[in-house]
Amino acid sequence: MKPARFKYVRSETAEQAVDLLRLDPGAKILAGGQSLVPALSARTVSPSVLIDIMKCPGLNEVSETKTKLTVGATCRQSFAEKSPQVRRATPLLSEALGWVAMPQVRSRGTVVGCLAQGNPGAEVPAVALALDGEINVLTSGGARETLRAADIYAAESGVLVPPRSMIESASFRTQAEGEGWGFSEIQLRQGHFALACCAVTMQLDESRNVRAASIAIGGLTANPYRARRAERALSGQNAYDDVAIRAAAHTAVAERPWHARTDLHATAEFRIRVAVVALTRALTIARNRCHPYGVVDQ
Amino acid sequence: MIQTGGEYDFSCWEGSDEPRAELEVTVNGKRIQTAVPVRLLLSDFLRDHLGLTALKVSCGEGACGTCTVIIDGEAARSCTLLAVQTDGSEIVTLEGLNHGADSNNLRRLFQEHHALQCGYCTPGWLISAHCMIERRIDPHSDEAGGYLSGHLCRCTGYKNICSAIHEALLLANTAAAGEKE
Repeated sequence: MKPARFKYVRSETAEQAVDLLRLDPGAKILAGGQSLVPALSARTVSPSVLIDIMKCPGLNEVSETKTKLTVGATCRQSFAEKSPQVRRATPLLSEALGWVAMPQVRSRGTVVGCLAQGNPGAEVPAVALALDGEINVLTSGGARETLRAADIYAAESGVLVPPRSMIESASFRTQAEGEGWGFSEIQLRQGHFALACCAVTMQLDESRNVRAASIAIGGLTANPYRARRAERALSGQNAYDDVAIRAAAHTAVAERPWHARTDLHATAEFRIRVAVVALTRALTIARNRCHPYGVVDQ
Repeated sequence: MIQTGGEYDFSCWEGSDEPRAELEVTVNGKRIQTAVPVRLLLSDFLRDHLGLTALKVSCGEGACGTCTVIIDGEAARSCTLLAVQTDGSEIVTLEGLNHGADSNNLRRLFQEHHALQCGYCTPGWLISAHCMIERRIDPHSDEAGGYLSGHLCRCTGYKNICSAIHEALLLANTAAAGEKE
């Protein structure tokens, strides 16, 4: 359980980091290291060079426009989780971060690392899907590209970013006025990966019917997915009709684009049932947090 | 007597062409400047080279919590970090906490509640408990549950550990509330 030999470089800028990535095909970016270092120890990955980006100036920043909150590549999970700015702009992200591993791991892990690793059952990728996330990538040619979260998790597994590139930051849609949010997760024990985790936002009209909803499910399948069919089915329904909420949860789980996972912890059948329960909870929580009459036009 | 700083020994790496990097850290208040092999884990650096053996290495993948230390004021795993990643940080191990009213209370409460048996996991629990006290965490909160879930114990069944930490938090939080008034 000790890492094999590698070279180590402390990169001073993001540009320098991608230059180094281009030079050596075996190079890998190191941020918080909470997934990568155990993988190095287990020798399931053996990079030739590790490029530590944690000292790149400005890369840990959280910034905000009217519609987007952007989290830099080296911003730690514990910082974002406790940040009043993140809680106000994207309460769904704050809440989900409280489910990522344990506080002793969140103190070192990064928000963007969670997206870049894309572990099955990880919370942040599901949130990124629900909040129309954008992944800002610096490519090896030095060009900046913005990818949609939906595109980087478009395959059943793996994270689709251009080769030899580095994620510089990720953006999340900020909460709309009166919008409710819900995050629900079922784990074998607290701090464990999700058997299923669900990220939901919802907006109601003045008659408490669903005007818009976004639903993302993680853990059920290897990569998370956005349940568009369930979102459409829920649209226009009375949000306080629990039968409609449950029906949407069943639709969302049924429309999974890939096989439900079976692993040591749970069978596919069990995960499917767990996902329906988790999503029903998340939808109910989101609905209860909506402004009761939506945004009233004066 | 455990010494920190100046006593570190890298003779086991001598003669190797191991890539190294400069590391400057403060460990238990002592400044340490040295070049460490880049693949050396922080847990091994602290134990094998600094002689700080309160922390233990068990799972080596961040799941069990026995290697927990305080880095820049926050509890963190030392086995899922390379030593070189902590450059510029301030690290406190259990050896550095053996002073002060809070750690005395914690020790006493661990005894009174019979919160340890073999003791292997205990240093990790004490570090997290200390961080919880520093942050004045409400023992009934989800956050408290989160911290406690970061440690495995194979002897006690958790109940005694949780009640000891619970009481330590109540004690510290009441004292802090008293100071405010």
